[in-house]
Amino acid sequence: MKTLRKTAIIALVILSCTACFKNTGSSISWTAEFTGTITSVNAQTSDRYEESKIKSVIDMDDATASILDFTLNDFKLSLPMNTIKSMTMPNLRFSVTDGTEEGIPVGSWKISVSELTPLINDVQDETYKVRNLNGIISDYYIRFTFELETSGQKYNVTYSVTQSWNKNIVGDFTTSDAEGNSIYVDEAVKSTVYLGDVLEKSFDLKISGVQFVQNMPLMNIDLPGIPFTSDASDSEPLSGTWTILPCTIVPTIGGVAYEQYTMTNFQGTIDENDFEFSFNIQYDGQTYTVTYSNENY
Amino acid sequence: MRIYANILTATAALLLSIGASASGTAPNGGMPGHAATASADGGTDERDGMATSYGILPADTLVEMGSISVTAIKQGLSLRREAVSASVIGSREINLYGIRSAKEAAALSPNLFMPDYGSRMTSSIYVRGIGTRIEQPVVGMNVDNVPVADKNMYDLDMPDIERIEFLRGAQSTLYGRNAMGGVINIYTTSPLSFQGVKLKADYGSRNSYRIGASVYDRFSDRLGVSLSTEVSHCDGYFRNMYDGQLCDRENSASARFKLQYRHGALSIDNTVAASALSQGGYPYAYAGSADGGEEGENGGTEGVICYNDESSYRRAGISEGLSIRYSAGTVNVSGITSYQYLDDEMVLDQDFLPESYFTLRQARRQHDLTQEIVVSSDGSGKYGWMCGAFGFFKHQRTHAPVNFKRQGIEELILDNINKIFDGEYRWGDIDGNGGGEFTLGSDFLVRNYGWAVYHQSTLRLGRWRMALGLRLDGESARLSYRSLVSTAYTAFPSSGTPVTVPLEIDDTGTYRESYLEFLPKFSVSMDFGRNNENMLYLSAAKGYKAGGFNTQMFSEILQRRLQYEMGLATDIDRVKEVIEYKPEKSWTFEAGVHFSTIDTRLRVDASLFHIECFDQQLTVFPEGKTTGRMMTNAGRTRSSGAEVSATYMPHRNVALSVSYGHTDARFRRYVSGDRDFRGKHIPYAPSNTMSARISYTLPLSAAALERIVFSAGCDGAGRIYWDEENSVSQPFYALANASLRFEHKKWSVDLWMKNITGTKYGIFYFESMGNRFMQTGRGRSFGIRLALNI
Repeated sequence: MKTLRKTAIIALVILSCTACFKNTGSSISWTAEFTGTITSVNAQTSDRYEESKIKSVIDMDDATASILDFTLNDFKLSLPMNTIKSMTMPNLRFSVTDGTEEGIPVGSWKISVSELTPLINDVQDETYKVRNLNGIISDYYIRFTFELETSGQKYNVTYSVTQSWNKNIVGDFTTSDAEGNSIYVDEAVKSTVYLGDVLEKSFDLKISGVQFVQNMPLMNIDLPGIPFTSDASDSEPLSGTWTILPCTIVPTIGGVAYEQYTMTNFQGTIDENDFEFSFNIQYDGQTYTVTYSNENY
Repeated sequence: MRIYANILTATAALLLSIGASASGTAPNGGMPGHAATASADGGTDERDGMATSYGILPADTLVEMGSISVTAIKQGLSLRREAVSASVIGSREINLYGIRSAKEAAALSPNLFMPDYGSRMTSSIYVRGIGTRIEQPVVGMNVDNVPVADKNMYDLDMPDIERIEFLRGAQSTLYGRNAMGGVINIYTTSPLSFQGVKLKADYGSRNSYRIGASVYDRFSDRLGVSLSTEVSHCDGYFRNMYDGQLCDRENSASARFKLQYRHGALSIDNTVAASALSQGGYPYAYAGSADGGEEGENGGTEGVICYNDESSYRRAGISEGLSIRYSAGTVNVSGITSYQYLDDEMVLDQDFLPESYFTLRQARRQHDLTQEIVVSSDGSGKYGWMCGAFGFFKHQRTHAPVNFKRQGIEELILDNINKIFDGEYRWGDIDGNGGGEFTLGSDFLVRNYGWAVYHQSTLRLGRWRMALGLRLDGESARLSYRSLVSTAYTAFPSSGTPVTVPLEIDDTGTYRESYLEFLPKFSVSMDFGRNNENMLYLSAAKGYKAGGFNTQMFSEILQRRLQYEMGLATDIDRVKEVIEYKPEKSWTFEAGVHFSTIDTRLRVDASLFHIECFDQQLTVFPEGKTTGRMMTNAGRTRSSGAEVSATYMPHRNVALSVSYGHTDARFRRYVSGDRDFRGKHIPYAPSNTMSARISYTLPLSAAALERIVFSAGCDGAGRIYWDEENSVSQPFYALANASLRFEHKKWSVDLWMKNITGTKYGIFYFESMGNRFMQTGRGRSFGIRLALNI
């Protein structure tokens, strides 16, 4: 049986990026570029600023040394602020979660620095101070949080590089009446589980061509924002078991939310191999329970 | 098949007996009334003086004139000496019947049907039961040895056609793609064989007129140039009752400049032609409901042409063709290069109803390059050979938006959606803005290229001659598309707030496909009798019609895409499978006879044929309320039949010609959905065609008037089945024509009449959106034609 999640993710170009490695003879260096989103909240005024497509660079002169430089390029922390061309937080020591292979760290990398003076445009600038820097670099995302003080202002900054994730699944929908009798089965229905951000704790489910009862036309139904909890580690958000929190979902068909077909008591579980959920729905004055399972595929 | 074999045997026996008893009269001396003027001025009459009858010139007269005329490059000196079923329409018939295009001459060829579907864009040709209305043709066309690249240019009036050849049967070995049913060769007047000025004027019913002027000059024995021009107009025959206007009006203009150079073994022909056409819409009359609905519920009145949106077709084309031939002793080398440009635009009220459902606009610009090189022996020995190479490139841009209007949106989209979903859907935003119409935009770029190499060997052993031909034909088709939709709809759920949902589609893609075909042919013939035009022959040849992508299906695909975006689970994948149609292949087996009496007063050509088609391409209208048409590959079909043509001159002043063709073309395997059409007749192709003509010349001795020619004829076709189920058909119909000509060597005046009895007949039928439509043929018409040679 195919695993649901681990086969689907495209690694965030961390350790799988063989092109990032360069053998200089005396050492192996590693450099990679990313594009992410910066979010800044002014600690004094609570003004929030967000900008996407901010480029960053992670650079290691010696991949075995567990020290890296992290640089943000062309960003600002508030709308009236001038753009900072580059800000480098140098010599960040990181810990690894899964050890090393041939001296090169694998798994997730964690950084924690209490205070440092960054390089602004490659020059150390005492007018800038970075405090409480925490960073995580994993196969699935990069996230740095820190406080930045400059020009008398303090900003709580988050920089994150994440990606979406989706997985196509095939399963059976079984509709049962109030007495629990199966009245209709729609087999081999294709669906897509979609996470807009791997760090989010809710997913969308797009069902392609489903009938819950015999005389229902085949429809494409979108179930947005299905919440779940996960016992996955921060560094591997797609692992573990996801438990769908009992919720109410209003299905969307062709961009239109159909409140009259609200799905109540929507719950289920997702783990590496199995995807099961169920919900109740009202149709034509009757209450039906629909269950989904991919166990046959 | 046994009946046909008996007919053929009996006919051959009769011909042999006539030939054995005929007295000898030189073929060229038998021209009634023209012998006296044969040497007058060396112009048209000199050429006509070589004819043996008013109706039929000797085959390849142009070739027999020698090197000063256009030369057929791929076939032999005389088509009646070839193992092929062919009809040749000479200049006399062309002038007598006022023929200006291949379509007007097609009735004279058995089993060839070129109906007038109301637009010159749809040049439909059916040969021996096979043909199509859209996409690839089954017949190739060459004008002065230059291949016409696009079927949309087949229906073209040309001034000063000198000769038309219809070669029936698979000609793919020598002529390549899309010659599966045959080839039409058209030759225009050579300035090296005629010099002077020709003026022509024709006026007839419906205010139709045609005026042409041609100048032919020869600067030396080697160099001749000509310029032919023509304009025409017709008010139209059919009235659109929505606005009361005649809907099939037409205006056209054309010009052709030809240069011919001959110097010893070198021949150069260069022709530049330009044409422009502006036509009205399609004269399709509502013919009732196809799905049991009440008449008029869609706004149609049976038998009436009535549609509210603009329909028209305009076309402009330029063609440049260069033929160079060099005869180096026993070897001939020919090169044919052409460039063709086509710019056309069709606007169509696609529902053909007074309601506003949808309209289509299709604008194309196309460039075609062709190059062919033929090397052949001079045919003087027992063994003859021909080798050739051909290449082409086609570049076509098409802009084809389908505009959905209010009725179409309501009935074709919203009615279906509102049956499914709770609440109400309306088009446009919450205030209805943008709800009146929207466009399914489609842009296409086609880039196709192809190549071929071929060879033919012929061996003559006494009375026997054998020919073996082989061709390897490769082609690459590439289609790039962009589908664009920007619209919105608003949902008013029974509970909840209304929401406007934008529908934005911008899909692009490219599809490629390539084809490779091996096309053999074989023939064996035996001469018999004392006349060197008598032969029996057997032949087998493989034919091929190119595959490609049906761009008209994109509107269907976009509609499915819209439904998908609106929540219905339609199949939007497998686009390529929907639009692609595979090549069609055939094997044609034929047995035939060419016979002439010694004095050539009687000539008979007859053949039996059997065609097996694989993956036959058919034009069908899709199920349900959708737009446009689509191609499908039917699986397997077979066509069997017979055809006979005869000319007879019982007297020097009387000429008779008849032709008859019968085809039994049926599906052997064709399943569409839950319907099986096995055994049904193939639609649109007639089961029978016939033509009979008689002319009588009354010679006069007056200086001002040399002769009067009475001619009458009858052309017929049918039964024609209009659908795969054979539930609707047009019985056999015949059209009677007649003309009276007053002739002088310098001028002629014709009074002509067509469809004298006013026969009513259907020329085209189809079903679309649950409605039936029929186009009827033109009624009675008459006119006067003047020709002046200076």
